[in-house]
Amino acid sequence: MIELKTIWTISKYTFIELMKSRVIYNTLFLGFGLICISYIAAEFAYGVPQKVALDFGMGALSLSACGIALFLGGPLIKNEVESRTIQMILSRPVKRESFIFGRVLGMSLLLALNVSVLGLMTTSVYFFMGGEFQSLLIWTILFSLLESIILLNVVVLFSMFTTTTLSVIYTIIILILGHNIINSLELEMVKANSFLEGIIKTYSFIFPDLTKLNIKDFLLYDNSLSVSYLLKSTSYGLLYSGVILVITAWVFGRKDLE
Amino acid sequence: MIECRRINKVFKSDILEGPTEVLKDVSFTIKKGETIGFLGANGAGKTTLIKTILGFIKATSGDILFDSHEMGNTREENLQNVGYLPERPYFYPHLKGREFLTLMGKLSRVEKVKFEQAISKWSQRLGIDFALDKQINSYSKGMLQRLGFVSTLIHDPKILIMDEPLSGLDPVGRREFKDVLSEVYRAGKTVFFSSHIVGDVEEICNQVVVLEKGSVVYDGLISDLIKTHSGSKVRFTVRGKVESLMGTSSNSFGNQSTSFLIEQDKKDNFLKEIINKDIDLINMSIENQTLEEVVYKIRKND
Repeated sequence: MIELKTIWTISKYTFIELMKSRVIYNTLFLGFGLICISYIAAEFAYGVPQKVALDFGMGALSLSACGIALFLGGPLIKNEVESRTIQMILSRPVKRESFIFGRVLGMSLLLALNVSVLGLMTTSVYFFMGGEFQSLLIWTILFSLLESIILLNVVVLFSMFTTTTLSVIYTIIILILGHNIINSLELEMVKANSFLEGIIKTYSFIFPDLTKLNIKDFLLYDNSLSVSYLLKSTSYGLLYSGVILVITAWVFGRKDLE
Repeated sequence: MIECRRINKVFKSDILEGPTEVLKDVSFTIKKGETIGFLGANGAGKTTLIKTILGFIKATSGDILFDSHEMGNTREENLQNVGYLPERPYFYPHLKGREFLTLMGKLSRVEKVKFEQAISKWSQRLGIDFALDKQINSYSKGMLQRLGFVSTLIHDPKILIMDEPLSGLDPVGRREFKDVLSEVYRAGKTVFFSSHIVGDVEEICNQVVVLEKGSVVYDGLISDLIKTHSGSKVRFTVRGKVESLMGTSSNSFGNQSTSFLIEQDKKDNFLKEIINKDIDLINMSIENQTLEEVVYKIRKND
């Protein structure tokens, strides 16, 4: 059985360790930069400065969360194995699965903090410029967090098999494809080739379809999305992360820690 | 407490070079209350075996058996009774020493009061208490080693398994570590530690397991090993400068005396020769070899 207390202890200290590594300073620095750029860009926009500010803010928020997930997630487990810190932890009554869950949860908490700080700054600028509250604001921020958690899980899984650098590169490829490949189903060339269509559909079934979590255009232009779509996308994000995390824990449980 | 039964480990890391056999049919038992040195040259397979005992890597074949009466039935119960220190330990660099020890205490499922008392006791004993509220990335190699040693003791384990615990320490640190190891041994704990420095093992342990190229070449008392392999020679010291006697060259000589190292079975004839030649015998003593000389001899013969 997986011990919740152990998972919580590991996640808590992972969070403390990451916080002390000063990554949150970068978030704050980025946040202030974001406010300045949003404000300046909005000054050049005719009529809709708040939307420009929101566009910049949400873009930067997403980029920052994905960046942190990739570059801190890649070495999250790998470094511990290489530096043998993991041997100290696993020489105690700690299941390997609990260790993985704890580390990923701790890192996810940091991502949540990062997204919350940047989200708060972005919405502050947006409201300051006369923007009105809409529930999609919250959903967009939440989906950025979900996207970064998916990427975190993917990069951690890759790091089980390859080097940190390669796992980050592979995950960047997954990120790019995840935002674009599903759109390629609309191409006439793909529609005409059932084999290619099958490959793309299979790909989007196995690898994450990040378009489901990209609702920035709806926030900026449509202002509405059905609740069922939002709930389905949330479920998709959580389920996908969960499945990848379980696979990672399974692989890690069978790995030789040389 | 722990029995290694016919452990084999083959690594298949390189397709071109083929599999590497790191452990070959390794069997020995760690009994309660013993201090066991695990000797072997670099690359002999010591660390691989320790990792196998702790379940970090899986043996290709063979079994690691924990005594359920002493160590519990499940893997978690087994590990609750083990204090492990890896070679050149490295910890979360941004945590403070105290935070790391608290983490280890919590993971060991020990009551907070108990592990806090243990942190206080062992950090003072190992001279690291002054640095517990500093970030670990400011620690020297020796300080990391001390912090690691404290973390192996805070849950009051029944057995300590340590991989080269004395490497990277200055002479004072080595002395302190040896004293603490003797102290925990006297307190009834079992100590199993690997080293490639024979003198350390000879000083601390009563038992030794010698590993050579993945195979156990000796497992037993250090005194027996020395007795069996040293073949005790006899040193004769005579007055004056004598270059050879009975075809044996002198082992060392100065202006005042000369000494000869003679095998046990030749000692009677050698003594007669001294008496016949009317040489003044100053001293005759049995010359025992050190563990280092014996281990070197075993390796050479292997």
